[in-house]
Amino acid sequence: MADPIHQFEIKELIPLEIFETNISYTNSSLFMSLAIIFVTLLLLISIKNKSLIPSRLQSISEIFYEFISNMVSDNIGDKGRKFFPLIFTLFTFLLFGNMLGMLPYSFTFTSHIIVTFVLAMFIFLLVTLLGIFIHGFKFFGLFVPKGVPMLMLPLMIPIEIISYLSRPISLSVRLFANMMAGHTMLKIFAGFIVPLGIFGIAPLMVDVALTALEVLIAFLQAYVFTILTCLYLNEAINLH
Amino acid sequence: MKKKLKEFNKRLGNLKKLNSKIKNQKKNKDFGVYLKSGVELVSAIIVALLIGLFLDNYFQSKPIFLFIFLILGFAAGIMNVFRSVKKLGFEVGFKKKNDKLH
Repeated sequence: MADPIHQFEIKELIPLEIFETNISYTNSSLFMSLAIIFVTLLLLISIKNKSLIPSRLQSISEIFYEFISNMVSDNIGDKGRKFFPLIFTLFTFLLFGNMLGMLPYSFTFTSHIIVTFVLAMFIFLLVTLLGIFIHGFKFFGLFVPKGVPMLMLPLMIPIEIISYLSRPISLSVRLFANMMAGHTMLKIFAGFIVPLGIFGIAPLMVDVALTALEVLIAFLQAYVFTILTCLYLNEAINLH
Repeated sequence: MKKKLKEFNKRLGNLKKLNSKIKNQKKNKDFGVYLKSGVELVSAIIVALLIGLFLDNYFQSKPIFLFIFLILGFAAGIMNVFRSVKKLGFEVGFKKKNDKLH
């Protein structure tokens, strides 16, 4: 039977080593580059022939733009317009990464925790530094919940700090676990199809249904990651 | 009169169907919130565990800080889940005064 974990293996395509650090161009990097190239091409081609009545490609990029634009203005407000490019890049990068992983023979770079953790850590540091930069020392008022009696504060503040520090982990683990579990499950069911002969139709049907579910999850996880980034940014910009 | 009543009933039925449709759409929107709550619980405990181990290592006080922070981490995890399920917003801190409960 095919090894279900084999699909997550990192392969060095162009071995490269600088100062004893391995910075090879791997299949993971290849698919990251592909995601960026596809997003850029889609946006560039779709606005090439601009028209008031959009063509199919143009409507795709307009939908993307409006989707993120609404998300930013709903969750952050006017002050968040500056962060639109960041949020848009993040969403399209994750969405294309997840969706490219759904193609056969491809590699899902979001199924490696180090990739999602670096993304989440970047967001976390950005939000923290931004909050301190905008509000100064007041930003730490975030850890003092409102409406809590003074006596409870020594207990509540450590809990709030832990809850705040857990954000990059929950953000990264959610995306990574969903993508990895889904792809492993697909592979396990696929491994049963041929050995079962005629009865292989049952796992095949499960696999077809799971593929649809995986496409939904690929979109949903990119969306959840982005909307949480928006909510965290909102908190740093408009401190309550 | 009867005809009018029948017509009215039909219109009411249509509106009721529409209403339930909108409600269902709202439910689908919440799907992401439920997906995330499981991870919230675990991640808070992991962070607390790491802090506890680090402090114990630093002060050479083997299990004390680990115990304290695991309990705090569990509390933080429960609070994370509570917040996301109650939809009080994802932020640190309790409900704001003019927040609506959905």
